[in-house]
Amino acid sequence: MSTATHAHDHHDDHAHDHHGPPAGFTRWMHTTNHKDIGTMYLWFSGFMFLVGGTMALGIRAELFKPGLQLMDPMFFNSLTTVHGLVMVFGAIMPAFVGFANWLVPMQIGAADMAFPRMNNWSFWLLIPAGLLLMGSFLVPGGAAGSGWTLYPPLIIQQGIAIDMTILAVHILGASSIMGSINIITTILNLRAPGMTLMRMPLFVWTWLITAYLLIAVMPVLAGAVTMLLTDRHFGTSFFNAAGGGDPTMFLHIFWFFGHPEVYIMILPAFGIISQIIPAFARKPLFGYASMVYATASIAILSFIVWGHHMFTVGMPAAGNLFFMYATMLIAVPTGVKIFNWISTMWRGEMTFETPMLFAVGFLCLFTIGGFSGLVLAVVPVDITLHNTYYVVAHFHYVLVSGALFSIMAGVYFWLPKWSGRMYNEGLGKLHFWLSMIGFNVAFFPQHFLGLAGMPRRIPDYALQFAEWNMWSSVGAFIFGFSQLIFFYNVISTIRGGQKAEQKQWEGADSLEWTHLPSPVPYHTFETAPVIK
Amino acid sequence: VTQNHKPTPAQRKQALITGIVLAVMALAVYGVVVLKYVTNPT
Repeated sequence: MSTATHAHDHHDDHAHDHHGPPAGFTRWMHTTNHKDIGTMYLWFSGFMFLVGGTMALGIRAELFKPGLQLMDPMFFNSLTTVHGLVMVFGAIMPAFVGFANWLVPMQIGAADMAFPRMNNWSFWLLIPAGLLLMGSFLVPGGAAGSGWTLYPPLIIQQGIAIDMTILAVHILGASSIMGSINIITTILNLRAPGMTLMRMPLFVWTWLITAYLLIAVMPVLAGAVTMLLTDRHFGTSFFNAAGGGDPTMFLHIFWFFGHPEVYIMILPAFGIISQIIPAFARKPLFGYASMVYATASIAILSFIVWGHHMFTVGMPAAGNLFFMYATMLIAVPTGVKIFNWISTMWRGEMTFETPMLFAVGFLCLFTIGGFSGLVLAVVPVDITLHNTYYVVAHFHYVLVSGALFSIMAGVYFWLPKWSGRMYNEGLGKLHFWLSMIGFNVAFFPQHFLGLAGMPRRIPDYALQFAEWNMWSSVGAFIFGFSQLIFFYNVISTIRGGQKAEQKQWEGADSLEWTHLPSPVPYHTFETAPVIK
Repeated sequence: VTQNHKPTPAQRKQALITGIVLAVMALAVYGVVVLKYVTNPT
């Protein structure tokens, strides 16, 4: 270890002179290079996406027809819980941090992130957290079965798996906070000459705002799960009604984190889409400044809407009304964004390569998710639909066709820059169309199931729900297996795709396309770019 | 490859200050949440 430390000191003292990356595992273990760390984040995310996806297919296989088919109900509960935790904290968030690591320094003209060693630590913390989450399936009692929201009192009563989950959440939170500190510090302090805040690419702006959100709410989640831990082991009763505590209080604290968390997972997606649509429309982004202000507005509003997740707990009518109207207000800045993306495409010289297909898919499907969110914002409607499959359909339209589609779009868009090689366009388009069809067949019927009253988080259901559940499961398997095409395409591109050009996409105009070759050299900029 | 583009000493100092301020912010939020409920559990 001391050798490694010495090597790094030498590395920094001589300003990265004379050598590229070290070979073998040590390159990845000790790396402080933002591109290496970004790559590791993306692969970690890809692996967790497969793990979480496998759990989802387990859930859908069980729900293919009524009755208990494959697993006992407790294991089903564990699958839904860990699927949610893995996808939120293990797949979506690390993927966006991976994008930030790769792109933020390149897009603002910085040499690297501000705190490269902390960057390395942020990534490697994910591994024990992931192992704790996965390992919780192996302990007596099985993995957490409370849902990803970790609600008491169930969470207080379960076995050691809960402690493992709480520790994993703490570690993931610490990793996210360190990553956010790095991103904010890099953006505020290391921009190239001439790169003013209002010249930054939208992706950088969305991440700057997202990182502030993370710093504001991740400690809130950490506080909540710390109190869960002390309730479980140190005799406190914060959330334990038997000891005078209040389980509803946990809901308030959790969702004060949880709703901004939704935007933490979607604002970087907005940033990616805001890079891709102008590139393929061959026009500058329509309403750049309004996009920035809309992003900031969404972030600020996200702090005052948490109550819409808990309309059924018996808040005062005035509270319900406040949260309802505040939630509806978010549609305004979101509408600005949708309007601007469409206006960017209007009369553009558009082509529809795979990144653009995913971006347009995002636009259509995320809007459906947004509208079903508006439906759920209406208190009397939500009281009827609460905890039904309508909610499951809504948030999957936001997080799968929103966040995940944007991740896919971003990987296809920047893969030529990252790897220096061009992916197979035919396979990319096949992946898109199978994903689009599979996703909609899987999740659109869940609106009908929810409206008909099917509750979520159950392994068995009444006969009248059978047909749409069968369709939903068929769609889920189409969607799930079509992702293998994506992984095959990415790996075969890296191993031997056709050589990519510096500016692979004609309309792309951020620094990584205009100033850097493909693939980007190990040390990004030899001299600081000057932006005029 | 020679890497001439690196943060200036002033940028490094400013970055360190920014990082410390942000870390204190995060710890403060955690502290406020926990202390609020420790001092007044309901």
